[in-house]
Amino acid sequence: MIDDDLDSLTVMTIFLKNEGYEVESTLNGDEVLIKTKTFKPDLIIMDIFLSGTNGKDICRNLKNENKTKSIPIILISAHSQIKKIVKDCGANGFINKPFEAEDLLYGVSNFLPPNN
Amino acid sequence: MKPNKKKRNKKNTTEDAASKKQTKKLSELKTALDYAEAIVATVREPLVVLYPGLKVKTANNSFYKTFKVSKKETEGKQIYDLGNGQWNIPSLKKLLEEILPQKKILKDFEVEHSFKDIGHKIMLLNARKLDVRNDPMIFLAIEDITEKKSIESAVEKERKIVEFERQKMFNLFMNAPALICVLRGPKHIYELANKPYMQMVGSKRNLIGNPIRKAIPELKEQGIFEILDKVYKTGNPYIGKEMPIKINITETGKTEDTVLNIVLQPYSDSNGKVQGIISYASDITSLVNKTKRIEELSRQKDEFIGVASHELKTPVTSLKGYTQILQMRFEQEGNKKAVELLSKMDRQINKLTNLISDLLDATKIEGGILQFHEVLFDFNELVTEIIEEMQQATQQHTIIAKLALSSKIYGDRDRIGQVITNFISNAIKYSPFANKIILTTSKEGNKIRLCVQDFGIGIPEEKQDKVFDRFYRVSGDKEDTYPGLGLGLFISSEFVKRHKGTITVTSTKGEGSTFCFVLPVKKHV
Repeated sequence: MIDDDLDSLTVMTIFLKNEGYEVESTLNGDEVLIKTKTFKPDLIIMDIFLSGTNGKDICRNLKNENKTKSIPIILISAHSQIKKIVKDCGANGFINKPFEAEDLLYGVSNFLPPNN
Repeated sequence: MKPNKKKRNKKNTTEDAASKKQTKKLSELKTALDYAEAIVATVREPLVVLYPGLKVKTANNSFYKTFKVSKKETEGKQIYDLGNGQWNIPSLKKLLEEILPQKKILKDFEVEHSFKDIGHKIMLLNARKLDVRNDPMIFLAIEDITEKKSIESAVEKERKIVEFERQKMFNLFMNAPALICVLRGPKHIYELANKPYMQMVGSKRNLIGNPIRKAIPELKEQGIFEILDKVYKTGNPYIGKEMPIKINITETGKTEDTVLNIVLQPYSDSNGKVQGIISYASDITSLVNKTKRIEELSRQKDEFIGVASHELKTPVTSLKGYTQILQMRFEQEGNKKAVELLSKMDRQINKLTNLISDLLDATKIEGGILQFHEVLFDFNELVTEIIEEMQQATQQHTIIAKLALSSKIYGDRDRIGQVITNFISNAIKYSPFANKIILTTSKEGNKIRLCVQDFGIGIPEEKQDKVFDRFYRVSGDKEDTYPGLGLGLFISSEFVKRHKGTITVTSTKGEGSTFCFVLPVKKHV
């Protein structure tokens, strides 16, 4: 999970961990490209407005990389053109900000059924 | 006998010769007189011949006719006595008695006088004194120039008016707050340029008499000369809006960017041949700069609101998340009071979220970047969903739905849903003492109508057309208690308009309001 806002990251982590998901998170967008070289997540959730590297570019890079292109990506944003961004970078879904726990869990469950 | 005869004959011959000479002279004189009289008689202008004592020797027909007198009552009478003394004019008297005896000839002496019989006249007198064997005669020609004078004076009056108008136009032209110049001929030679024009191009320039290519050479490469050539050649006027022009200010040596609205109007001679061009321009540089500045400010403002709204959504999301987490924890602990308080907090966060969304939507509408995601969806299903959701938000009001048969409609489901939500939440908000809200849908051909009726405070008639304006809020003593940004109906009306629909309100103050929209069901082009 990538978000440059610590609180967003904390809240989402709590929601997901409550449902039994294992969460690995980072505040630094660039770090994800390095991390995925050694670690392969089942799903990536990322904000598209990140300081430093643009979330859209990270998304595109992940989808261009052979090793990571099969990992589903959910984008999180308040951006009005999120649907277009999803299409452009090849992401698999999106969640609009602000969202509730159910929105996030429903979005995630589409790709990753909750762990019993 | 011959010589006698000859002598006698000679004497006779002498006598005869003298007599013959006399007769001949008399005859010549008579001829001359006849000749003179004939002249006098034929001259078109009144003519009178006076002899000593200023008595009339003779006058011509024109005289009798003009002054309405007969030959009988004229000849032999003193001129002053004629026609009941109407010729007793002091200026004429002076002329005949003082000036003429000395000068003998008088030319174009004007006399203005009111004649008893013929009225007010202006006469032009020409007189000549002739001394025929101590028998002085005066020839007096009288020309009635009254009419000529009146025409002349009318012409003069007309000329003065024309001159006055011309001066007026010239002053207007010179002092007009527009830039005006007149260019003559195919080379566009400056004939006139008014003060503002001179100020624009720099007062030190030598314009008049010079072709524009020489007077303002920097206009080359700016397309102006080509336009002037075309106007002159075709005779068609040219209208240029917001034309940027670079002028070198002679005083400062700087190049000034000027923006002009310009009209180049050709003018022609009486045969329709183009003679030159009148250039009329207004300097709108400051206006254009102001507009640009306003546009830039407006863009900055929209960008700011956009970024601000976006930045606001992130903490709101976290806030909402923490609230939910706390709710879950307290629920697990069985602390119902805390759960209730947190759900109130969550409602407030939702309000805040909606306000931010409205701000963001309004900004997108103003910036022209509002995007729609149109799909085919079941209209009644959407309406029912929203009613259920909104019903949860109010315990006081019952939302009564009267829905037409379901219909599929093409449009942005979320945006249309937003409009319906806005209608219902307004109905709740502005009818604090009512207990019902009626929502009806009906099908009208290829269109769907939805109306939400409340029984609340209503909107005064004069304010009804303003409710869809941006930032408009119902105001007044009582209405001040209703919060909001005044964006909801503005956004709703924009959404409806973008779907090629119409939005309306009918209301009676104190009785309630009905808000309706009509949307086409098919995909609009």
